[in-house]
Amino acid sequence: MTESILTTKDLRKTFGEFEAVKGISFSILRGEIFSLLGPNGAGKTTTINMLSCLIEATGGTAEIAGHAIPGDTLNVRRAIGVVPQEIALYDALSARDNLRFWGRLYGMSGRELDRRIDEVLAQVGLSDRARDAVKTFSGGMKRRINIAAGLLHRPQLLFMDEPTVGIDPQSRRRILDMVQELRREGMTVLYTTHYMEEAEELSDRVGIIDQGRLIALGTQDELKKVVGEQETLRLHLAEEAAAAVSSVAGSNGDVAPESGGPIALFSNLPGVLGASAEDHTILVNVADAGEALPGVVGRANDLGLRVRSIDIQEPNLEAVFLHLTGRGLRD
Amino acid sequence: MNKILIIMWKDISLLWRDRTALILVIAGPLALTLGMGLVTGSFNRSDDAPAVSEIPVAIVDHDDGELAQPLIDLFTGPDLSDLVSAEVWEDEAAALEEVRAGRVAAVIVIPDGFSQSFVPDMTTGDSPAPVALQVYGDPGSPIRAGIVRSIAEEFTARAETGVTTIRLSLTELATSGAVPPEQLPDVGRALSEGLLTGDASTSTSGLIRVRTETAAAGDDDQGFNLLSYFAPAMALLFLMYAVTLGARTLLSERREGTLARMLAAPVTPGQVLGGKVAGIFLGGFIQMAVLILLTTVMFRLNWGNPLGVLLLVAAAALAATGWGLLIASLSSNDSQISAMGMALTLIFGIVSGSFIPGQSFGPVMNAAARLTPNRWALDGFMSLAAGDGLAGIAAPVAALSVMAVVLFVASAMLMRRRQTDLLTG
Repeated sequence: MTESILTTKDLRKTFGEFEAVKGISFSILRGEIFSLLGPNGAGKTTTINMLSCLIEATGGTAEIAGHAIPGDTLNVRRAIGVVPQEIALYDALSARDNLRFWGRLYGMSGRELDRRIDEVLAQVGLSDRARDAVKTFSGGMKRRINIAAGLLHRPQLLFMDEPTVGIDPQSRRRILDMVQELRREGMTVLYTTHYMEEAEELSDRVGIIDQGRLIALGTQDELKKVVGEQETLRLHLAEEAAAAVSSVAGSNGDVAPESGGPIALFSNLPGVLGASAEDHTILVNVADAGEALPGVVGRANDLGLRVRSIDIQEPNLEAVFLHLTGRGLRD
Repeated sequence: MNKILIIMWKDISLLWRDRTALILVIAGPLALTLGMGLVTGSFNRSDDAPAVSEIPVAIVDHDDGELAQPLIDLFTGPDLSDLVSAEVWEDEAAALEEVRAGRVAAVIVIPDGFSQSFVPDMTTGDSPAPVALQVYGDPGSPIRAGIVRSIAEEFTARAETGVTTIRLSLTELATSGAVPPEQLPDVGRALSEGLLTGDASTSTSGLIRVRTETAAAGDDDQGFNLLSYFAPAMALLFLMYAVTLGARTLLSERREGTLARMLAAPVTPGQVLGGKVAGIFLGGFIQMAVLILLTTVMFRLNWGNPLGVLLLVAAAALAATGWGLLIASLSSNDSQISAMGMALTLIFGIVSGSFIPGQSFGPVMNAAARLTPNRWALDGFMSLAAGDGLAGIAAPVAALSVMAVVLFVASAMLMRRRQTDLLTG
């Protein structure tokens, strides 16, 4: 894993006045799984679209498998496989006919194509549904065929843009296992996600992206060093966290909702470094869990938050993001 | 080129699997053609006869004068034998009962004094009070009754022209002094006899020729067949709808992400657009070809020279594809394409006269009709059905080709201006 298959230098993209990507530079080594982790709207899909030659970069350059962007776009497209965020398949065609169409676009044909279709269908566990129209598939099955279409021509580098969005946990598990299998086969993958757990489970290295900037890059251990010995207290509430915080903030005269939500509620406690809300959980980033815990629990009780349980979590990518941006990944 | 064919074939496969659309673009025009045939009485006849020919006509002669006979001869003579089948009836009431029962398409009643009403007073030059020819039509066969009425009207118009000519001649002879006033009645009588006998027959011969040309829609005894008009008219109407469906896939593919996925493959934007355009064209072409085949079998229509039909279908599908692309290049989403396409389909159908054969809305609308592929293609199909060869469709094919080129260029320019938007959203 020493040779770079992808290198970007100061890659930028603006849409009118809006600067979606603000000069991103990173490399991906052959055989590694590299995750771009960031919240929705951070610039992940725009970056993939530039690297897939779908949109022109406003500035900067990139090189994929020795082919330059801009310049050698056709060879770049031959080298990459793309699994788009949306399910880009033809509902009326069967799984096999879909794969046959996409394979042909990559110059495959005849027995070689048929054999390869059989392989990828087996890989995604849908051999028995090959002849069925995609419209009869569940969301998770469609996602798997979506991935199969990207793998068909054995790309040197596979872009997977949030491949688990909107599917059930079982299908998500299956897709994550599939990516692990790809790693074992030596496939290089650029994986974008806003799920911290996916990036942690899959990635050799992670780039954390926020508001168009790459704010951190490295292995998970390297990134976790950024937050030092910080820990995270996870307060599981009986109700949806953002709503609870909002109602508390509304009834509490000295904490206005616009002042920053959970951060405003807990940040003045000793040892608290930051806080964010996620689903039914409030995440409180602390220097020492043992020291901060009584104060945090007391504040929650004072505010009338119905805490059902508390976890203490070792440093993770969520904490890294919180540390770097002051916000949670899903804020 | 290979990538273009791959994308085109994919679109045809999708069209084939879209049973609703397929039924609409094939069954729709067939049903409308069938409906038009029933409304116009084209199916009232026995199985083996052409749809509009040998129109049953009853003639009741109360006049028995010099103009009545040429009129009867006109309807019963050999020149119109393919188009009308006329019989002289003695009993007017019985004849009228026949038309009420739908057994004859029209009854012509020649009233007493009809011939004399054309003879001017030889001393004053004044015409007697007009005695109108009466034509009773079967409301169930308006087109066939209309054909009979128009033949009768042209006959009387020719007779009136003759009377006017005699009156002008007498006036000229009187004022120039070429004929003494006392001889004018004799000259007038001589001219009138010419009108009522020899000249009238010459006039009706002219009339017969006009009708013979119209009736000779096919030169294989097919006769004048309104289905020969409605079948291509309805097929062309739905061709516009079919290309709209095809053009809509340009934007639906953008919405669903398949267009972006194609562009992420080693395919140029030109190949993607080329494949889509080829798919739209081939879809329209196949639709027309299938309809031609079905109407040939089901309605026994003769479309004419096969090579000419092939060329004309290709040119029409190409021009319609141009319109489809223009709509796609002007629309932001597939709903807009559907709405614009439906509107254009109907407007083109009305302006081009697809619903009413031989209609004329005046010079402005006629000029507007020339902007529609329907009108040009209909002209071509009528020409082929009339037995013309390839030369007969040269103008329509050329016009449709020019239309296609202009629309393709315009669409390409519009798409280039908003390429990022169109291809990647």
